Amino acid sequence: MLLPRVLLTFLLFSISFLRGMQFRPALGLVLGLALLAQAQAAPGPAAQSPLRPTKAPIVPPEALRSDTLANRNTPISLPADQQAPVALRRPPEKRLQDLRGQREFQYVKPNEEPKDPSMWSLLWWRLSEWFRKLLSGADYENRGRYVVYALFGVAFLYVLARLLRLDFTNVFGRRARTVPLPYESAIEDIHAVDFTASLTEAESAANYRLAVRLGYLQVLRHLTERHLIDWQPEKTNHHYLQELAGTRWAPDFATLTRQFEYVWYGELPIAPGDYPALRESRQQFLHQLTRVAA
Amino acid sequence: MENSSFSSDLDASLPQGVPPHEPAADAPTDTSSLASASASQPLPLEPLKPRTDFSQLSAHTAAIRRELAKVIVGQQDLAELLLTALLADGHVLLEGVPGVAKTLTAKLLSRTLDVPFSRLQFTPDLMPSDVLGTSVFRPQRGEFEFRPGPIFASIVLIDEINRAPAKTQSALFEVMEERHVTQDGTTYPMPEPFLVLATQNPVEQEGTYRLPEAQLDRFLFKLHVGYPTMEEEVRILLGHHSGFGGVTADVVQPVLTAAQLADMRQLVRQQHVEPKLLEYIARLVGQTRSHKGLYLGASPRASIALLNGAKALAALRGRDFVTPEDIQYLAPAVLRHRIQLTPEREMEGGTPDDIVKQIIQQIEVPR
Repeated sequence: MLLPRVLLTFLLFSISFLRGMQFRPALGLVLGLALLAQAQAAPGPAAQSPLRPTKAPIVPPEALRSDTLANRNTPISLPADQQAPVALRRPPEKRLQDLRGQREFQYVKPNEEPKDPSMWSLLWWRLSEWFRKLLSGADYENRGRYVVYALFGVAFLYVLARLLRLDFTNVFGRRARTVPLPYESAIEDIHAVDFTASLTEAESAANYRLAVRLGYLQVLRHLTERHLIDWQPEKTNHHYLQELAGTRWAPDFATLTRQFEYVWYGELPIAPGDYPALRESRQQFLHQLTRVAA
Repeated sequence: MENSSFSSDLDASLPQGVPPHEPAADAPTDTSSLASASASQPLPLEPLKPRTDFSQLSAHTAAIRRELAKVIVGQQDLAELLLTALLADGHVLLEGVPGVAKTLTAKLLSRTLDVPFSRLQFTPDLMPSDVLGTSVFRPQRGEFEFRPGPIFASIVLIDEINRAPAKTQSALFEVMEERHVTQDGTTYPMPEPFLVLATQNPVEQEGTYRLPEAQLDRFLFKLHVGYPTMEEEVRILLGHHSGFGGVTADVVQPVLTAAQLADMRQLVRQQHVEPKLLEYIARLVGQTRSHKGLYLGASPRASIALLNGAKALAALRGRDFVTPEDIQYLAPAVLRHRIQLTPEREMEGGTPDDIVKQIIQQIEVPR
């Protein structure tokens, strides 16, 4: 009965493999192995098929059966043991010690403390002893096995974390280092600047470049407060132009942006007679923005 | 004229699809009077004047774009970055799958320049002397004579550069960085301009060798050449169908001489860069050296490349100064081949462009 099942397993696996499907060979193999396992686990042929005729037990001939000890009625008497008690022989003690000292008979190497050890070898010996005791004998039953379980648990959690792509590097200390470069604009928050006072101060000092910059930041703050742009430190002016695309503010904001860029990034010098036009364009934009919001 | 150039710059800086003075769809409803006021009273003209005359540069680059557009459909960004590299005097590595017109674009760009051109097809059995040249013995004179290799040209197109092993690729180290070749103790300078345009297929494909990091660092940009859009592909098919095989490369004519290119590069070198933008570049590149997702960061050569590229791009866009947009726009092209991901980040499917994007988002724009 086993041979047909083996053949059936092979047939299933072959057919499914030839079909070229990705999971079919595995399915065929599993099915066939299941059949094999059932065949192994099943009881013998006699119990499996009760209708099959059982063989008759082999019985010895009558002549042989009548001559057994069980059929005799007379008891058997054995002669008494007349020999002297067996003397226990012991090998000479010296010979025994010689044999014990031979390397061929040292079945278990004793882990003895090194004689005349250095600090390094003593440290290694003690460490190996500690591990040996931890992982064998009674210590293993008491403590060592829990250590092994913990190691397996940690390995499982590590694999799980890798599969789930969890990143604990920040938790355990490795952080992306930041380049220590002084950058004063990073600490400037457009919501915290008093633009009126700062602008007045810059204009009175004839620092028109700074005034244009502060004026542009003021425009950005107003646009942010009216939710027309989403102000973020890493965004460029072009990002804000894109956010305003399609609105009525886009063309004028583009003009202000260009003014700011030429003055701030381009560092174009501004004559005192030129600044009022720049201030006028900014104020006109802010005025329209404020009136619409009102 | 100056005001008109300003206006063109403004129009270029406007996002796509922004009609000037068009009423806003999401603007408050009670603004009809204001809208008319805004349209009737535009913002006053600014009293700003550009310091550099880019009219010649704009005319030449526009002519190159026109010539390229005779054959190449789409790929506007690629053309802009190639022109940027041309103005910044930097080599370009074009990467893309076969059939996206990498070689054709490089070949056509070289045709638009009236300078010596040579093409090298890199193969696995190519030797350094096949690239650089070799000394041959002249029995009549009883001495060796150096025969220059195909690298001695102004525009060198190296096709499939990653088909050659590292030995041959390393032959390009000196010539790409120092612009000269040393052979038998003699140094031979390269002509001006000298530009290497190399193409390569992605390294996952069979029969290729990964370029050494030292060589990758010598390329100003690594540009990805992607697939065309559906509309562009239809236009390509239409062109081939109507022309019974497409337009030949002969229609592209030289529009720029070496002297004109040298003048344009001189303008680019004089571009103004605000000191805070230099710090911004340094921070961007410096962050690549400390990012936890990167095994190898970018070198100071990358900072210089980003600076030169930004200056060229600003000139191409009609400005005589660099803005953070220029730097952010070029950062992926400058950095993507100069950084290496950690194995973990690579296994997670990350790309260098993702990291560059993260770094850009982490650093405040100087304003």
